Amino acid sequence: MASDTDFAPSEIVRADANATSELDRTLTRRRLLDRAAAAGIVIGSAGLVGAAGDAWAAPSATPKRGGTLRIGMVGGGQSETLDPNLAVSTIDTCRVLTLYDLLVHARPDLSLEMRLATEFLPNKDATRWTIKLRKGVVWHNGKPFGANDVMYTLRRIAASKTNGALPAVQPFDLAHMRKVNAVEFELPLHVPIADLSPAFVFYPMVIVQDGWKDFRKPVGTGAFMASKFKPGQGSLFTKNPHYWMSGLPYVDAVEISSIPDPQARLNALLSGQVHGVEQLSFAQAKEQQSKGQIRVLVGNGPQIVPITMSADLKPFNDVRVRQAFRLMADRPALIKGAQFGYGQIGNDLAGKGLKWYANALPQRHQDIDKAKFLLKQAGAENPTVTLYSSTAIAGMLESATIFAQQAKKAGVTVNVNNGPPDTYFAAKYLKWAFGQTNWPAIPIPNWINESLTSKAFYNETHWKRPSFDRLVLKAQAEQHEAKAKELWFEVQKVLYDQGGYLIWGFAPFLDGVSKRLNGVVPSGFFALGNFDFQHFWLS
Amino acid sequence: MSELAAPELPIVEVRSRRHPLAGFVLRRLAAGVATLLVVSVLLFVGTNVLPGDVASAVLGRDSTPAGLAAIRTELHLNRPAPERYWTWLSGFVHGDLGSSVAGQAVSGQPSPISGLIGDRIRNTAVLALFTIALLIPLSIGFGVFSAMRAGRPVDHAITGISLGLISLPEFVTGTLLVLLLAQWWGLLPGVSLIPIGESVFSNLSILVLPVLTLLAASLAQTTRMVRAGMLEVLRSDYVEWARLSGHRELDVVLRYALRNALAPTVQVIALNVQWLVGGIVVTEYVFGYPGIGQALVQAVSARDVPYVLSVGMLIAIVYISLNVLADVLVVLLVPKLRTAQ
Repeated sequence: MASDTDFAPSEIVRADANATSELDRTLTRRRLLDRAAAAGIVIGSAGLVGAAGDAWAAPSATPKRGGTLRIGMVGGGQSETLDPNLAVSTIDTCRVLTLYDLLVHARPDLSLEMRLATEFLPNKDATRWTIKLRKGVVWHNGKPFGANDVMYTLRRIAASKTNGALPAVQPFDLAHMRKVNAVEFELPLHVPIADLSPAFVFYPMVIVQDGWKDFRKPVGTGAFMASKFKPGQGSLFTKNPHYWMSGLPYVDAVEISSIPDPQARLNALLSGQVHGVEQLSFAQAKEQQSKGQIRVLVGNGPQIVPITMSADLKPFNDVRVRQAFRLMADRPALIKGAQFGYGQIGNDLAGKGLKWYANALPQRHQDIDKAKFLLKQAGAENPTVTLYSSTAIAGMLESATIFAQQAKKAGVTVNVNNGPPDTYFAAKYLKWAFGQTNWPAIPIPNWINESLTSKAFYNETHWKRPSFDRLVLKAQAEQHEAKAKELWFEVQKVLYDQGGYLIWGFAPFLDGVSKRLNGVVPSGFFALGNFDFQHFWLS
Repeated sequence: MSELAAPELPIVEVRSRRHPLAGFVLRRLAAGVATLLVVSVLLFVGTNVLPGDVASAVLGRDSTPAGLAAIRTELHLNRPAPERYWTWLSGFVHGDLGSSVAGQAVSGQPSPISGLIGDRIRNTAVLALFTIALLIPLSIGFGVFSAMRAGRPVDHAITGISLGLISLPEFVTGTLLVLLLAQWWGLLPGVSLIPIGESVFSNLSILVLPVLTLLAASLAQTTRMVRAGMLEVLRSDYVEWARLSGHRELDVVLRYALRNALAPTVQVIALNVQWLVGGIVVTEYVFGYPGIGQALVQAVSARDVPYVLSVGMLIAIVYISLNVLADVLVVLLVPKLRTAQ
């Protein structure tokens, strides 16, 4: 694991009140790209940090100050925005995290770091939390930061209907929030949650100023202040001289440009016009790793591009069919073919490496005979199914095509339907019997709440079981660590045995950075070291 | 390419009291307006039959029914299509390009398209003008030279190379140029980004590769047309007569032959200029150049219908105007046509 001594100065990091945090807990529910995805891209991910081949600039080197950091991102045209309620594409995320701060920030190794919050204190049954905020933080316009800002932000998210973190605030009883003092407030919950702080790492939950409405002239508490912004083209942010992390940032300015074409992004980096680009394709990453002209950041983490089977639609309404399909997948071959060997094989569960992940369940391997047997038992021999796919996410269509080949061995005909990438998640998403999806690094409890409970926003596998919902609530409320672990194992055992997700592998983040760029660590959580630009410096 | 060599030329009515060209120009303009109307309908239908709309494009996978409904209501997307078309069209004929719905969706305020595209139009125009400024003299020079040396090695070289360049799509030529001039030799920037707050004029080196890419395709085609037109004229009787009268070959070519050879040349240059205006899209995309073509691609992805319509119409207007202009220019340039019939 890469050292983050430079990355997490001890004076600003305070341990989470509830967390003994190593790996885990974290992470985000990310909005899916769309236009960005249209360009054929990997997003999201998390995990164990792996440096790519070449040596890092020594973390002990004294950081140099000054210069303009230039970043090339995929871009989203006129819909690029600095409003966290509407931030969708990765370039929006990148800018939002440059301007504003989160209460809790996920480090590249997926541990948590307190940013604008300093402490989360629960009541006895974890239905009411007291959140203490950082003192002495000042907004870009000079106002002091405090509880009013956070309470305004949470209400604004809930009222927006469009904020990507909407599911995360659903359990909050915002009507009964109470300010304790300038830097402390109480947050009651509709359901008990034993571990609340990971719910605040979602980047659309960055804190905006109390009452602020004009996001064309945004004001944040972040390391950089908005200077110029042209949607679909570029933006300039200048150093915040009053930033609360002392001594940071190192660079004087950050310029973030939209470069939609993947080859143009790489060309910009190779010819020295930018210092970092997001989302190298698997092929580009392989090639550049062997050339060594730039550094390739491989951020291994729990991002997934799984196949989904709807548990209420034929033929997948029979659990034996779902199991058979999971047994037809040759997972190492999928990793090799669809992801050029990047990433790790999956076990039909999300969140490998994160807290509560059920490591004890045996790894599932291809077993064609058993798959055939199960199909026969279910009365579904030699079925023909249509798999809705697209090039919306890197590796999506490739994995669908490879899986179709593998399924043939079990007598199953899979017709791959290659749909338009920019509307893949708009058209029949959540309706089809057999499709694909994409999830970024997200804490396992949040993922289950968002995709597998009866009222889940993204119930991709049509998984609606009241008994399962009760089990999830019970696990979520359990404050005793060992008991909670057992309960979450039970939850995952149900999914492993009966669920509709075919999670064949985990995909990494692949970014490219110049050798002049220091302070950036490959992150399993998000692109370009989670866009934590205050730690970046140019040599 | 033979259809280019025989452009549809006006039949000039000598009887008319007006300037002989006036009626022709008026007829062409009327046809142009009709064409524009058809284009606007096609653009509207085309952008509307694409699956999804701006609300789903802006929200992506996070689109909840409530979120989609909120954006659609705010942007009045629930109104019937003919009504939306009419609102846009009546605004457009009054000079109002409308508001970018993608911009409005993310800011909650109207984003007038006229305010968004000014820089992009200028950037595209600069790219196109540099290309044209090189294209015209070079293509005439190479074409004439090649025709004068018809059948000799230098002619074969020029026609061969130009055939090769025509066959290569811009993204291939562009990529090869980037590889050679930006990555291997490191002479030029590999992408044409304009730093925010600066203009293209303070970064002229970023224009070199896109201009070369555009030239590669258009110059080759134009050169071949000039050569073909020139060869035909050089074989004609009056050129033979001029030669027999003892004029120097260079005089014959430049003073007698060239003007009559220009008719197809003007047409093909006009076609290339039109292509530069509308078809610069691929080159802008490959180089990340912030022009109108790149914006159009992004607007289509975002299902930003008013943006696509207005920009599409502006491009169509330029296209049609250039067509008329080229026809008029041909008549003015080529004396023969003025006395036709």
